[in-house]
Amino acid sequence: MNLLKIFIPSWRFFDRVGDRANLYFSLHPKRKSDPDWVQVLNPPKRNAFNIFLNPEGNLYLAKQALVERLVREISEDKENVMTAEFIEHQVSFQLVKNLVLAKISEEKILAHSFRFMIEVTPEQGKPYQALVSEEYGCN
Amino acid sequence: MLDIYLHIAISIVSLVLVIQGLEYSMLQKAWSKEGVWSWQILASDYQSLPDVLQKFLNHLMQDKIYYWLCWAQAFIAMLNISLHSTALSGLLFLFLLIHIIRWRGFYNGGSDAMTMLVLVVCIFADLFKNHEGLQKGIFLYLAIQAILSYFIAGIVKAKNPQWWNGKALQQILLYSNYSVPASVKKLAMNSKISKMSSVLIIIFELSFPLAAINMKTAAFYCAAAVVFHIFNFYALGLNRFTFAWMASYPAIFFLASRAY
Repeated sequence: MNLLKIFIPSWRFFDRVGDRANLYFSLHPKRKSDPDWVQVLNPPKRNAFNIFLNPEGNLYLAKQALVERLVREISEDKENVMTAEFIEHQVSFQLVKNLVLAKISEEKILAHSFRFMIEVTPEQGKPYQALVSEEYGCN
Repeated sequence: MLDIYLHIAISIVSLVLVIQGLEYSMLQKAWSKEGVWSWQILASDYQSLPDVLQKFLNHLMQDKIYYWLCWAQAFIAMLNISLHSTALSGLLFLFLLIHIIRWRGFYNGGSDAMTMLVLVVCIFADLFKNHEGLQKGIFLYLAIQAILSYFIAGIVKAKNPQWWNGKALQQILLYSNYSVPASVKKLAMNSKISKMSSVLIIIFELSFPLAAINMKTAAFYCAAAVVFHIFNFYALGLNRFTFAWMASYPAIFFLASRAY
């Protein structure tokens, strides 16, 4: 991290609405009630006290930022140098994979394997799939 | 005179660090070995560091140690609210660096950036307490950055026509991934309200430098900013911003007081 950023922060809050990234997973075998892709991140509810202490709310924002960081890292690879295998070994990818695993474990879902997908909705234009992972075991 | 402003700034920034330490300690599930931000994965970001440093970090980031570090931060920050000690502030700065490593950058974006800036400025202002001119200059730098934080945010919005017609605000409140309450979404759907709110935000942010004119304008702008941050918490859930920015207001008051 650039130390200069501490003394000269950017302060460009909401300069643009920006692209929206959503993380989904898909199970094998699929649960009957599930759509093809199930959303991983859902914002927690908050109350007035959370202005003083909001661990879950800030964690949700950090998780969202993590997904956006992975999308950014992939999109910065304009010359397609990164292979699927290379991306799979990146820290951001592994953390996002952990996010999905945590969700599966939290909901006590019984499944053999899962895949995950990040859908990006640009400020203008149609949503597209920025990443679809391989299939991984649930354990 | 500066001492009072400096003391208030340190007290508020210490309060922010109490909150931060408590929040991290409550999220053990997310950063433990079995959690999302497992250090076993994160450590590979630091493979280029010398072995000694890697070993040190691996030791420091063990679940138990990191957990106690979070509590130690909350405790030390609590002490610093009343003691106002340079050594304690220095320790708190080290805690912030540890979190930056643990979370791959600022965990809470802009609010962590402001917290770090206020803390670093207070440490330097304390260190140079025997050089009055320099100390005042350092503290005034915080005032300038605090004012710029609103002014620059206003400029980037003013350059975007979507902000003037209210569509950008509507998109943020209706379609972003923030957890926006239904009541706010309902208001945002009204184009007139959205446009009026956007214009008000732009005018408020662009005119924020007027806070430096005198104590009355400083009081007006800082009070309005607190209301603005509380609304941001209500609408988007950004709680830490409220207190992180409040920690910078004593510097704005110092600038407005012309006591330098």
